Amino acid sequence: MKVFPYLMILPNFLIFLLFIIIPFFYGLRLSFADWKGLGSPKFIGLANYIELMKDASYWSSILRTLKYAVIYLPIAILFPLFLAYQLVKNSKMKSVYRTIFYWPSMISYIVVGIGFRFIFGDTTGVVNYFIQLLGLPKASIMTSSTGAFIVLVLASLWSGTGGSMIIFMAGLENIPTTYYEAAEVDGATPFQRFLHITLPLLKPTLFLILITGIIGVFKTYGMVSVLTKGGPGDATKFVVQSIYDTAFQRVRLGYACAQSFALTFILALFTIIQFRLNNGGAVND
Amino acid sequence: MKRLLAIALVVALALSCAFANGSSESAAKVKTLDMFWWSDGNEGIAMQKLIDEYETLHPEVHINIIEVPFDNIREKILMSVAGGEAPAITRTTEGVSNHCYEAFVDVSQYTDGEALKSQFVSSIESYYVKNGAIISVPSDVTANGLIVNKTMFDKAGVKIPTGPEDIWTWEEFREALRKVKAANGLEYAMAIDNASHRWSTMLYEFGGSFANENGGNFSSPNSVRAIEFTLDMFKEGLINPTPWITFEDAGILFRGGLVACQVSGTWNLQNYHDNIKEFEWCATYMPYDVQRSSTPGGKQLAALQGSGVEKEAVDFILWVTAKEQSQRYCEEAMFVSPRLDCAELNYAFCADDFAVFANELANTGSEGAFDWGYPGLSAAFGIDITYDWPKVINGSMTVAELCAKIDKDINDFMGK
Repeated sequence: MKVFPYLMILPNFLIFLLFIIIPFFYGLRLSFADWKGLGSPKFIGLANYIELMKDASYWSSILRTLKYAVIYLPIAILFPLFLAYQLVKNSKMKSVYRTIFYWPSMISYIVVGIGFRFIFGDTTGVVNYFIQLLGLPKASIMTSSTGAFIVLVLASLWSGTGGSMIIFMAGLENIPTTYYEAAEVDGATPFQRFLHITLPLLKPTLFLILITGIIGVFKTYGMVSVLTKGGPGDATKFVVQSIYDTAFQRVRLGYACAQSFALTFILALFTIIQFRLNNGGAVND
Repeated sequence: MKRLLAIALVVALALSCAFANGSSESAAKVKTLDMFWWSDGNEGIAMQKLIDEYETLHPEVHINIIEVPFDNIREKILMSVAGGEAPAITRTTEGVSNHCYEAFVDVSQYTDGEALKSQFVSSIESYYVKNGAIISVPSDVTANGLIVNKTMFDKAGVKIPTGPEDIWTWEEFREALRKVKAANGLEYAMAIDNASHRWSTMLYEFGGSFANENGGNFSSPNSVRAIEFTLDMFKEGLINPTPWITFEDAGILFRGGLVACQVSGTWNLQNYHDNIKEFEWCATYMPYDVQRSSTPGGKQLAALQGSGVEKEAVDFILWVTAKEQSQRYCEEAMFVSPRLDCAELNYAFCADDFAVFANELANTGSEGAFDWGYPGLSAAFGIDITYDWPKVINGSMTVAELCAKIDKDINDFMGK
């Protein structure tokens, strides 16, 4: 029996077991309980899930998150793809631009949130300061639902573009140049080459970015908690913040676990649908 | 060579075990008490001085301060207790204690509870006594109140109340704010820290409250009057909405001279004393409607069950909150002492401002103590009032809808 390979994966398996598998089943158990974080959980059967079905604020937060995903994800995929495509072609300044575009990805979400708040804050923001210097009326940016939403999308894009761009660049550089040369000889335009060579061969990378993007969007919390704290009202209060509030503001940890499992189920559903639609990200022959 | 290396390793291991054993034996003589702590100002320094003194008096005890951000203190306590890693002591507030008190030691098991309670101001008793158990000991009290930019009020020719006999009514104050706003070319005249605890002072002054022993009280006529009066001030541009809508720091607006006054509390006095050089400021009396009020708050120290050093933790808490230590702590950290025998403190500065806040506390009814002291209640309405007040300001929710929602939250929680 080959023991060595299993020994090699043992450390990772133990970490996975300890921090993912065991908490997963512990959380599942708690989702059937009423628990305030202290004492023993009181098991209440399916009551949390029944309440969840009727919880309008939870489903509103899911819808808001979906809206954010629909608006943000296409830009968060196309923009890095565009940058990566340009940088792969430009071999001279590639390293410089790659560093410049990747830099924001290394900054903590919290810092990005504070920075954008400093820029776009209604009363103390830099943008409104300059608007007023020009003698124009102050803009309601963070106090308007739309304004706050746009600032959030901008901050997420600024912070997340670099990471996706690097992955796209790796994918693009793996496409053999002979395909492009042959297409060029055959008279294909740049757009035709992108459409018929780049996109199909980039499908596994696109699939990866899409899946991680959707999961990332549904997990959005850190930046929002600093930038808008879910406001104005609850215009940018996404599902993870809603779960956090249930757990630690309303102190209903059992119900928060049920909300988390509903979210897990939704994410799993999205992932399965995408797998089916994209044939698991496999390149078509 | 390999054999030599192996022998050297074995010897090194044996020596390290021996030393480790030696150090653990000496460590066993000293009991370490972990203490969760956060600082708003310099109170961490004041507390550390007292800890150093206590450790000199009790060499068998070492108190290890673990800094925890205030925003995370509740979940940190819950998680550490659930994980079997409870600290010996934690700093707490009534809001935190409302959820964690079941994990706290009943101090009356170690001392005469009635004698202990008699040492502190009665208005905060519900903050540290839960279901008859003394779950913490008060270390300081805070009061909500009004801090004004004196330079701006003077420029507008508006006289600031100097004593309890000439306090503004809310109507008079609104008129005063109109003048101050116009005279100073301000966009907004006033900021209120937040829509829950700080605004509740206005609610109580209008005779309203979030709840009472019968359940939700937010739809009562007086509560509705408070809400509508506040809303009118927002609509008129007298109150800056950003601290409530975008959670902008009201203190920054006041310090930056962007508003002429702020409803805040005692904890800002030292900060403003140190940092505001561009204008004169002072604390003054909150306007009143049917009554005067503040909203008492404060910090307490609690010992946690299951730490294994409960007695040592309670001993330290009782020592550090005793008269002499409380006086030194509050004078250095610029706090109001919760002790009846420490009413007169010698502050290095802002003594007049503290006197104003002390007077506000002395004229405060029991509504705040119920809303913020009833176990778990503030969590039932706190989140909704924070996120729904902005909707009322933006017009996407009516006052009636807000009142109905908050009352439902409270009634569901209280089982009414």
